[in-house]
Amino acid sequence: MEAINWSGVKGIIVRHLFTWRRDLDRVVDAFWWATVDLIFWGLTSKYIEQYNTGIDIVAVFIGGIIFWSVIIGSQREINMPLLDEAWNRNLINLFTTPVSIIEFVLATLVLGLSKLTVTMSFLSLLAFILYKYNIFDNGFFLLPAFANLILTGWAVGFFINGLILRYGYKIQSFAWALLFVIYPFSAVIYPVSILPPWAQGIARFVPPSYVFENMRSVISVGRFDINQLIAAFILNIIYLILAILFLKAMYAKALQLGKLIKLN
Amino acid sequence: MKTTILKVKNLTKTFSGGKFSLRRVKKEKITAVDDISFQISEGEIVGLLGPNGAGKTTTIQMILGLITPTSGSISVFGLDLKMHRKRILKEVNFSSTYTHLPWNLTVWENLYVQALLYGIDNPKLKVTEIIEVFSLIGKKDKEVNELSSGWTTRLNMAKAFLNNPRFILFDEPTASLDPESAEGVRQEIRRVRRKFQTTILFTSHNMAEVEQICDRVVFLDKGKIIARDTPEGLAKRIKISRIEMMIDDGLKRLQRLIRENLWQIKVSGRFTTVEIAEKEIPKFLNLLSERGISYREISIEKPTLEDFFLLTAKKQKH
Repeated sequence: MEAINWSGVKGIIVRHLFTWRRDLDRVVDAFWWATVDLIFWGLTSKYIEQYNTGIDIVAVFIGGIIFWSVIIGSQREINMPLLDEAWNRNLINLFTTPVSIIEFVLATLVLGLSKLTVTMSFLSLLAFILYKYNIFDNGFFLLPAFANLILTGWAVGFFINGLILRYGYKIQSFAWALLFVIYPFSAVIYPVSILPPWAQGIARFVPPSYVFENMRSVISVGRFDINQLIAAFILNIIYLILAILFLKAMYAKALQLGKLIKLN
Repeated sequence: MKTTILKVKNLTKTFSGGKFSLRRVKKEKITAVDDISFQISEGEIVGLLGPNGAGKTTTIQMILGLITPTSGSISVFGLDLKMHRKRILKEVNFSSTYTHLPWNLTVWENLYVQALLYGIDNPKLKVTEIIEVFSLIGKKDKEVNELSSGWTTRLNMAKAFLNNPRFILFDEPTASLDPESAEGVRQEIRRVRRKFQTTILFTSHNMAEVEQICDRVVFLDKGKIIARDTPEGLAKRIKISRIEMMIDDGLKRLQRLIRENLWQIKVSGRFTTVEIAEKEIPKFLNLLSERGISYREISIEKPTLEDFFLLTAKKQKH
């Protein structure tokens, strides 16, 4: 195994930082849709709150939106660098340098985390200003919850990257929709218990469902079950390893079939 | 003895294309590169030529590690590409008309990013140097999308020499350029090659360009090597020369003369072209005066690499 080319990792990061500086699309990606969601669901929850449901509906909705944005953001930031290189017809230039797919993965992880931090800080501040929702009321729960959600987003992101490398642009629509396949089983707003029994079975294998269940528990009784979050973490690690192995296999297949050239 | 920079041995690439039908998926095998072997020594410029679909680009992409060969081996600097990809690519570079550097980054930013990707020491200094070598100073703060195709090609060339590569692959570097810009690029390649003593593998559809630049040519067709020689050597394989002239008097006598000797003739407007073996030219000129055929504006064209290319392409079609 050849040593990691850290300068190459830095090169990929710097390349995308240069792009972010002057590309409005990236700013829209980071802030616009999450803000729209936050305003829409915030107002909806304010409306439902009038009917005295007995639970802090604003916290459940706003928390759900912010937490779900973590998954979407981390997934998107894994996919965007690859698509950006393909759209710029720069994939060949990139992969004819001494940079491997693993270094590309490392760079996208750093890029994703930094952009997510900025997006989440902005959303949290906006939620506080608009709805007096303080995300830090969740206390220590935030740390394992965010870690789990980020890992889920990364696993889905790497799986999608593998599909794009292997099948090209024709898979794009399916790839973008993939995250929303797990959405109903993640119990973002509603509890897992209202899902039909077969769906509850699936939800057990969907790590975000544990995070959202515990988020509601923190909001209503101020407690969370660390064992459930550890179970989610183990599932996430398994999915992430599988997704990276899938990506490596699809990269090898793309080289075998000449798909990298076609994607470029 | 010169060091071998590239050694390609029994290289084959087969793609299986799937044709989908409702009953079954039919797999068609296409051999893009068929058991080719060649090598390039240090400091050589070798042209990889052939008609469209000959397998040139697939070969280049395999040498760059962008496509995995079905069989055979590629070694660069004596190292196996499969085992030492990173080490090899550190000292190799590539430029093609068909790839682009990110369009919303400036010239300086693109070169700086590339310098980091190649792990170059003191990248900012190196970028400054290469910008000077390729006279890009006036364009360094321009985004790529603001550059003309000539300047974009120049940037790609600068990128190709950025890591002081021992070996560069150029895939049709002048394809999108007007003749003047293309000549500029050719001069640049020759100048920079002299400066850095780089080994180059070059593809182009412009045969005059290949004759000008390349020391040696490997000619591919339908995935196989069908000839390898110097450009002059390949041209010499064509034994027919063309004599073009304007006939003042005696066109019918000339046509009879051509028929008697089984030569070829083409009459186009005021000009007549006779295709004839090089050694028969003196005989032809004597016969013209013997039969009283008067002419002016005569020119004799020796065979070129393009003639070899056209003839080979024609033969392969039949």
